[in-house]
Amino acid sequence: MFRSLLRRFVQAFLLLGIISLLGFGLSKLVPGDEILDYLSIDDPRYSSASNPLAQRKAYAAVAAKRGLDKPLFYFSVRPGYFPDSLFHIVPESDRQSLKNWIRRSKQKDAALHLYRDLRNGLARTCPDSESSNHSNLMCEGFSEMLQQPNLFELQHAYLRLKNDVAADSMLSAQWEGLLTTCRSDLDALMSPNKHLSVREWLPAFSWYGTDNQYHQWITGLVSVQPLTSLIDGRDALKKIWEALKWTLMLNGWAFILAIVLGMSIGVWAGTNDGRKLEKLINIILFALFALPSFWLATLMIYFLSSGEWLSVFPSGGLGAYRDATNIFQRWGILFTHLTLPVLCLALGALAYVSRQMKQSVQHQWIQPYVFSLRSQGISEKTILRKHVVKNALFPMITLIGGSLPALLSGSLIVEVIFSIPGMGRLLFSSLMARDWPVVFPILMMVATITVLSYIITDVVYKWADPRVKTLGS
Amino acid sequence: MSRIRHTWIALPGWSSSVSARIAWIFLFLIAFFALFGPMVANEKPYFCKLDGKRYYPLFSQVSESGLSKAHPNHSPVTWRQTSFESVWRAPIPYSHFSIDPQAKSYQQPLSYAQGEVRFRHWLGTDVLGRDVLAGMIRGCRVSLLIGFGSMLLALLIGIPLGSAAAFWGDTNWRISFSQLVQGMLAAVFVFLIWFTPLSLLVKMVLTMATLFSFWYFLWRKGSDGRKRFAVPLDQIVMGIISIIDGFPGIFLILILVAIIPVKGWVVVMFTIALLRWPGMARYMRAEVFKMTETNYVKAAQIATIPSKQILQKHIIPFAFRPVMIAFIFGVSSAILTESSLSFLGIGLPTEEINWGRLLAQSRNNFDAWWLVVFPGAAIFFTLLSLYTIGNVWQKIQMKTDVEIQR
Repeated sequence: MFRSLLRRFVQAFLLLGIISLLGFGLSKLVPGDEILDYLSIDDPRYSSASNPLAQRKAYAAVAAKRGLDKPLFYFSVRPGYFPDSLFHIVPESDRQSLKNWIRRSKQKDAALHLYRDLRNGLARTCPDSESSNHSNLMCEGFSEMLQQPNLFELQHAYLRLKNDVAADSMLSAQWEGLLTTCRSDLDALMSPNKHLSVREWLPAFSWYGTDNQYHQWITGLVSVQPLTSLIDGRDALKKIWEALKWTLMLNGWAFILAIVLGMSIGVWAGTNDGRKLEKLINIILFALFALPSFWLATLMIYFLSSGEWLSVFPSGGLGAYRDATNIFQRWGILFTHLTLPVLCLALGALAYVSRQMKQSVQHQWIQPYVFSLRSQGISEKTILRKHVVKNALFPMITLIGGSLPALLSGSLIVEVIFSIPGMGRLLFSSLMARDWPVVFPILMMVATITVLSYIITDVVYKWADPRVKTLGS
Repeated sequence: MSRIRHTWIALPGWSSSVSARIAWIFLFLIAFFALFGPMVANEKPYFCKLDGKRYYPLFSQVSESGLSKAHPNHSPVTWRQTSFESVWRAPIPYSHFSIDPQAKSYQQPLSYAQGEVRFRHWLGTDVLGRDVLAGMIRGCRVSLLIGFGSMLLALLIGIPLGSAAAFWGDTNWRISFSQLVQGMLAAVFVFLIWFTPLSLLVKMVLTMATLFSFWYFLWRKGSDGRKRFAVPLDQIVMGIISIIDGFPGIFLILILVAIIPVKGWVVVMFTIALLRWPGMARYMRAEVFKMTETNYVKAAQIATIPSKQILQKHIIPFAFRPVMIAFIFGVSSAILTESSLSFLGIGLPTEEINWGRLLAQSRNNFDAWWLVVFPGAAIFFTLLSLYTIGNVWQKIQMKTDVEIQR
């Protein structure tokens, strides 16, 4: 028992590790540049008007603050013709074009030289504060070259810049040296490298240690230092806790309602199968099962709260429960606001639970032990209460265990329709805004609950039915 | 044998249950609209005559601007307002995208501002003045395509993995030491190839060639040694499944929709398939487990029939019907997922109209009850039909199971 439990926990830990890796990898695959999004919206220094060097500096500052100029992982495996430390090159677009130059030309030294020349050129030609027209020309030209992934386009950009500079004799005299070094590097880049050494054919491996992005976020989950949301700068865990409270309240009530009502209906339906009332209830439950929750929610709002027909309930949100003077008033406000969403969530689940329970009860009624109990003269009521219901509860263990993760991760649609600030909505909006410090804790929390719920279900099964031999087999 | 009736229709539940029959008819109606939607609801007429010239706009590439050029005295030609000499229109003379300039936004059902009765909007219009019925007919296509397409993909992944996991389990697929070494060598070779400075196409060809030659020349013949190493197939498959289950669904959906470079309904289909195949694999695993315990499979194993043959000929065909039932329930949940995503505005391009999108529009204007009722009812009845059919089929299945056991 203990050993198999230990094995399950080790497996669970392994699974969580893989999930964290995959989640991190997937988040890195999402197209678009999150720093650029942030800068273009939130940073006053960054605007289309400011010069390329200032833009790059602002970008680098944010990247350093978020740790996005660190290596991705503990180690990297790359083709042998690739240089080691491209990760510290920001912005992302510059890094991509540099990578492309190397991929096309297979010459890392020339590409890195060219990159350094261009950055050097930017640093020397771009005006710091007051803009002078001449330097701007050079500055824009270098920036354009830096962002050009295609080698031929790069050459064209260079030639254009050179022609523009040649028109101005003073400018050409001043920056002749810079342009010549660029020219020589570009020529080296354009001549194909035919003789790759053996080392360049083999994969190269480098170790970065713990100073990397994955380590940074995996330790960020457990460290005392608070994670801050990228949107509003608030403590991410506090944000999650606030959302979790509402989700637990909403889903918890719906869950209790569905389980209690569903089980009672199921037991009743299982013992009274074939009656007219049972048939009617069966049809209603079947229809409820097929009812999409978002349609039910919209219908409820339309008929019960929009003022078109009845205006019994408020149409969404949580109301002014904070302004309530006493606890009764507060719960009164919350009750009216939560009734519709709870009903909406509970009705669908109720149909499912009662159907399962009915099948389970019916299955128990035809078991041999029921006949033997009957032959002993035990009343139907006692058989039902003491034996059938007890045995029929086993499948419910799986059902309850399986719905634990959904209980915490929230129900996005209902939360959106009734505008309740729960987990589903928090995860959705954070994902849309790429607010990873909020997304990752939620991801790992849901994953942990899911993996744990498997183990808990097994343990409870074992406890409820000692005939179940091994855990998880 | 005489009790088996041969009806001309072999749909499950058709002959035994009235509700299943109604459900099938409803699904056929939806399928009809999905296939022939552009014929039923289209702003282009089937046939029109202008200045003595005949056109078949719905079947040819004739456009409004083309006709305006050809007939300058009628210019600008619009399908609705130009007075053709003779015209034969589709039953619903609106496309899902066509904006009726005469109808203001949120027109009531059955309303028509002016003109002929045939231009009435049977189910009203949305905020832009688009016909709701035309949008709903368009929605049939998207829903069925995504529902069935994604579940077929899920079957394609789930059935092989699930049945292999159940049949071979953790211990039954054994390999010899030489095969283990060969497998590792092949992996190393592929790894090396992948980091050479060759182009992607060359790399792919080389990888395929390496894997094939390893399998053909070495792996196949290396089976004569003692098979000491078991491949934990069941653990691997179940591990992958628990990893996918461990993610919050919306995380995977949003990120995959952003990552997968194809856009439109294909990406939604792939995403839903990725979320649904674990369910199918689990179901298949349980079914095959049940079947490996039956006497006929045990007899076949004792008769030393190769295990691959047992799986292909004696297990998978018999698991077909229970899997089809799971498939039908899966289709309904895929349709539900698709319409929920459209309701939230994820996945499909914004100009695409379907049931979820129409329903979502009702949230902007609660006076428009027709935007609440009709698209929602379409989703509801589609799901209900699928559930009914699945349910009836399940009952038939249980009955035959009992008969077989006797």
